[in-house]
Amino acid sequence: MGNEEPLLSVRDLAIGYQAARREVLLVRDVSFDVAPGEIVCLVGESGSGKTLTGRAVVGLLRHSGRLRVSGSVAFGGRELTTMPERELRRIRGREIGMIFQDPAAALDPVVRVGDQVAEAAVRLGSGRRRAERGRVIELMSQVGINDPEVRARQFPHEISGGMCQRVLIAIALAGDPGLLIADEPTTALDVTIQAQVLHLLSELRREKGLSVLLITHDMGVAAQMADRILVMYAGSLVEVAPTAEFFAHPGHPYSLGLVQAVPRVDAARARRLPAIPGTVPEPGDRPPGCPFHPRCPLRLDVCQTDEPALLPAGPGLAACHRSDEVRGDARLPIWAGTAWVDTARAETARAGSAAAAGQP
Amino acid sequence: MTTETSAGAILDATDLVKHYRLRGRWQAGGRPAPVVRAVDGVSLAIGRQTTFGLVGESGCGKTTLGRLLLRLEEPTAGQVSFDGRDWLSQRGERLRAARKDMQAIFQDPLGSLDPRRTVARAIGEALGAHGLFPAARERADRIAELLGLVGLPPDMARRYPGELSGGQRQRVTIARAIAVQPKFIVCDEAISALDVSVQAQVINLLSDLSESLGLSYLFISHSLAAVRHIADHVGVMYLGKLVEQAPADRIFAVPAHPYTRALLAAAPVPDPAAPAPGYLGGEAQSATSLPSGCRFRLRCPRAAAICAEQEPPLKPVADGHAVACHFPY
Repeated sequence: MGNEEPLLSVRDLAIGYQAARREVLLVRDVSFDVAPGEIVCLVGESGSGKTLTGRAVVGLLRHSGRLRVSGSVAFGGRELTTMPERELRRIRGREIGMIFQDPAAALDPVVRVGDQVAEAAVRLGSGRRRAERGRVIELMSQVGINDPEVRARQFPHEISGGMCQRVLIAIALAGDPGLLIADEPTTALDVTIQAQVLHLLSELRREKGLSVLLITHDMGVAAQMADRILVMYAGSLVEVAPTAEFFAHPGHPYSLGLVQAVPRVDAARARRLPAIPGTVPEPGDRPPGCPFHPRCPLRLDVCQTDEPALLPAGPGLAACHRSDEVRGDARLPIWAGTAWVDTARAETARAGSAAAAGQP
Repeated sequence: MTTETSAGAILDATDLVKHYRLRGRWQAGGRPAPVVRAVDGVSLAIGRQTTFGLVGESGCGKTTLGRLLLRLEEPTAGQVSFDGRDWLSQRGERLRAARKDMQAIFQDPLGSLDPRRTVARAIGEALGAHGLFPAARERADRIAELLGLVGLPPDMARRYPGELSGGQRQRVTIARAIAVQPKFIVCDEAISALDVSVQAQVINLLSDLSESLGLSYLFISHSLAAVRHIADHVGVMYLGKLVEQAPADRIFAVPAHPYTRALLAAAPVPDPAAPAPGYLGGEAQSATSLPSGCRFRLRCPRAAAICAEQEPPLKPVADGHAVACHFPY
């Protein structure tokens, strides 16, 4: 990363819509960079705005009716938000590849997969179908598809989900893009197939210097893949940090909760997982002050009134009034002993014994 | 291999088989229609007040196995004893009454709740189906009590599923499942659709209820990590067969089957210092065209000649630990 000119630079991105009386913001004040050859993971739970952010970057929200997008997106020095659609379309696919979660839905069910790869290769390459036949086979082998000549003749329903996702990656790579935006690319896949696809993305980065903006809800995937991690909550970035630092000293209580709540195969069995109480707020119901304060065990009065800005915290950035304390105490299981958990547990035990005693 | 635990078992299944014969356009050229061997001879015992975690990838037959135990589908062959009764011979009204003891929670809570019925009605219907709490006043009290048990406020009773979050909806389906005081619940991917922060809440809730209400679970999941935190005993399925089963602590400490080891190695760990996940080549074969011998051999790093010739039986390697592999560990 270092001092290199970023490949992608997003500034003050906001996405919202006009409700009856007020504007509801789904994404606000999002700024980040992706350097050449860097893998940046955008993590967050459903409704945090991470998918919208990924789509806004490539201008896919332009024709989405009520959604209003503001801010700037610079790619390789060019501003994408004001670029005419025709020009932007040349960048999508050729310079920025995209893959999405549900591979089966992204392929045309009545077109052979080889023809779908060819379509991309023809559009982005010489424009001559015959000349691209070799390129199709090359692209398919590059993403680890065995017997590409046989696979190319098959229809999407004849191949597995993991194979479909490889075909989509082959299509995304047809224009030899510098940046790949991958939105939950492995979420629909089995864990052994997920490992294959993630390995493939790492190889592509290593061999071709591909930059990746990887959108995921899975902290395990982020830990394995990312150089840097961006955490979104209720439409805002709440933490940005290099991966090692993020997991060793998260600077936001939400990050800490996310890391601790993940069940892991390698940890000693805990009878109880440290759960974050409550749920992500709906976009229209964003609480005042820090959006996370109703769920936060460390909240102060100030958190309920003043929204913390995303400020330097160690080598990264965090939006928390107490980020220094959180970073210092990262090993403390602040979630395990929260009052909410203990109260709910006592209630469960009490009601349970009552139920057992009072029934026929 | 389940005999040691059978005495205290709430559920004991022996050699369960479910084959589906594909018909219609699959039946080409007069050849016999292909058979999907969804569940192909599975035996397992689940102890009282314990949780059996059943793990495997999509298409391995874990959901079908759960549905067979629930009697949502009839097995092709096999026996099941549930709470001391011959479960598969229960029919008609007797089966309906016996279902009170075995309930289910599925992956998608929105799909299992009628969007036009309030939470109170969804839970009340389960009570009504078994003639429990017929008086309106007592039924309302019981519903409030059940909501308390799953950590929801009593006023939630008047809400519709669309007004609730995913985690709250799953709590409602849990309340409905425990409403009739079952002894055993099949949880099929019960936390997979939930956000990470909410998954932990629901895992904790299920553990608490097991303890306070004396429940047993079959916890079906594609995630070994989720199972780690709830199961006492773990079974790993591959293409219709259990390939390994063991007490939870043991299977995570000394996994013996190459497939279990691959699943563990492929699970991403939220720690950047963890070694890069090893990965397994290839993909699961189809349950219609199984390879000869061991079903896993085409993806197995240790496959040898014998693996193509003989299907390894599930045999004990330690107390309560059984493995179907010619070259375990």
